[in-house]
Amino acid sequence: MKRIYAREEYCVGCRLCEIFCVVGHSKTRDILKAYKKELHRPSPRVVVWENGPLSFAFQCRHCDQPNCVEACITGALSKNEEGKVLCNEDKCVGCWTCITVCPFGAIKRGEGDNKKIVKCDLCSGEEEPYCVSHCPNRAIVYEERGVE
Amino acid sequence: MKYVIIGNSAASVGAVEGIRKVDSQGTITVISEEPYQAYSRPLISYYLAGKVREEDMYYRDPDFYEANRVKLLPGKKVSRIDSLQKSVKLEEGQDIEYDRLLLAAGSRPFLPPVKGIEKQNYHFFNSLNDVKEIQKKVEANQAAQPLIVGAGLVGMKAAEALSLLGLPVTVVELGSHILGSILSEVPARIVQRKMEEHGIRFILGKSVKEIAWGGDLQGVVMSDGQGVLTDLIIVAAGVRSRLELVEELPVSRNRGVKVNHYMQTDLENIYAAGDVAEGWDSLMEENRVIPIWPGAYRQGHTAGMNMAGLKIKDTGGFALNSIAFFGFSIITAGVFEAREGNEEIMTREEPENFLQLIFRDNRLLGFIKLGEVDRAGIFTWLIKEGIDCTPFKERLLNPDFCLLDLPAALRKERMRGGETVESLGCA
Repeated sequence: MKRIYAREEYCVGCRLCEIFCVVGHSKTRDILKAYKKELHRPSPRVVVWENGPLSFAFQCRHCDQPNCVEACITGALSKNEEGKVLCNEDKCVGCWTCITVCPFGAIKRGEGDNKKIVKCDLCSGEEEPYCVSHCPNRAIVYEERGVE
Repeated sequence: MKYVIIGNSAASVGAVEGIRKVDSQGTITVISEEPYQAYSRPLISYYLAGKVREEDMYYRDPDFYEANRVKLLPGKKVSRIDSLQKSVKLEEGQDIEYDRLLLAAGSRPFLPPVKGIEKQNYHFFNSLNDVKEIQKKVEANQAAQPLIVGAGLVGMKAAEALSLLGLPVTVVELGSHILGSILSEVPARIVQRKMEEHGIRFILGKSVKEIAWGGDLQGVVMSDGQGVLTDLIIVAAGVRSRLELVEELPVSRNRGVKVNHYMQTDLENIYAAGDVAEGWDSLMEENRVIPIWPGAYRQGHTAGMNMAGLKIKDTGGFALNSIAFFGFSIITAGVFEAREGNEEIMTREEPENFLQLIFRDNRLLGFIKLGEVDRAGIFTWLIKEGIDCTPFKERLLNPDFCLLDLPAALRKERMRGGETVESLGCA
């Protein structure tokens, strides 16, 4: 399956991926409306980690054998036929068991009153995830690397 | 192939999914004492507090049994297993034959010896029916002063739920601090303070000796003679594996049924998984009961695949827990207290955050993380893989610790999926 891979040599830490992740998961998918008009702005599902000149964008790896799916106490997390690890937000209660077992630290806690997890869904339905298509440096790519 | 599964919770669902990955033809029968499809047991406190509805508690989609062609027998009790005839007998008389049997009967709550308790209408806090009964009493105003016996994970979630319903809750715990199965003393005090701020009262270092007044429940007498008023007792003093069905079988057992790496008991056609089984603890390097939800699912899944003919070793697991009280989060894994004497402990303590890491020979053995619990799974991974943390050990206490802090080689192996298969098959 296609996954998002970071190329840290090209990442300048501009965080446009985070911004466009918000846009991609907003109601209108319009950057101005998402940031200025919509009541509930989604949290970015990708995080840029930065330390001096080193930076990279990071999000759920959609593991072949996802620990989070095995551990999920409510059945909210599942791996679909395409291989995407997705969260059914109606079932997530924010117990953070997935955070306990995700070896990448890629699952975020919802902010404020949002007691649900926040994780990458590879922009389900899109040709290319928003973060990838809006990265000015191709510092994140969406490709098949021959891993099952 | 005829598969029969006794029990209908995490291990059972794992087994069904494991079997169906390998064998789409065989018949699967699931025998469930409870009259429900599999539900998320940890959600019962959420249900009592009114945070989830019953229909949102189901662990799988409503068509799970149909889609996996499982015959679910809800509300049925097994009276005995006949390993020679290869059949299980239901209490109502019916015999069900099996080729492969999975024991996934779980555990039952332990009733501590308290004088007079058997004459009282006490409650456990382990099943949906338990909380439905408690809910009825609360709604009928028959539970004005709940008393919880035991400050473990179950007791504390019960305390939180009842407190959220506006009741003044008292918790009695024999140990010197709360949550003794997952926390050492200092973090336990932090959590206790959080709960006290929400009106929960703790009586530590004492036990309930006697329920003195017959008839209607009015109060209890503590081990030091003190009286505590209560009209609702919830017993949360731990659980024990349900071994009654294997008592007459030639299978070894200790606290739980012993299983090999394939989740097989001493009888080759009988497997066990979940709270009933002593599975492999990869950290302690011994077989023992680890009564946690993720482990039960994993063991059940492995058992299922093996029952269907594969030969897959269980990777094993170790204790880990994520729990929260009034929005204050706690994640722990592995060993949380120095035992051998050669461990090294590193701690970061702030008013709203606490992190404790335990190492042996620079390898992480366990951690306790309170408050901001983000990325705790990286610690769990370091424990599981036994990674030498020497080059980045000091950074582990950093509140922002993430993959960025790992040495370049280790980080790239983790992140560049295309280069190593293992880096993505994270199980």
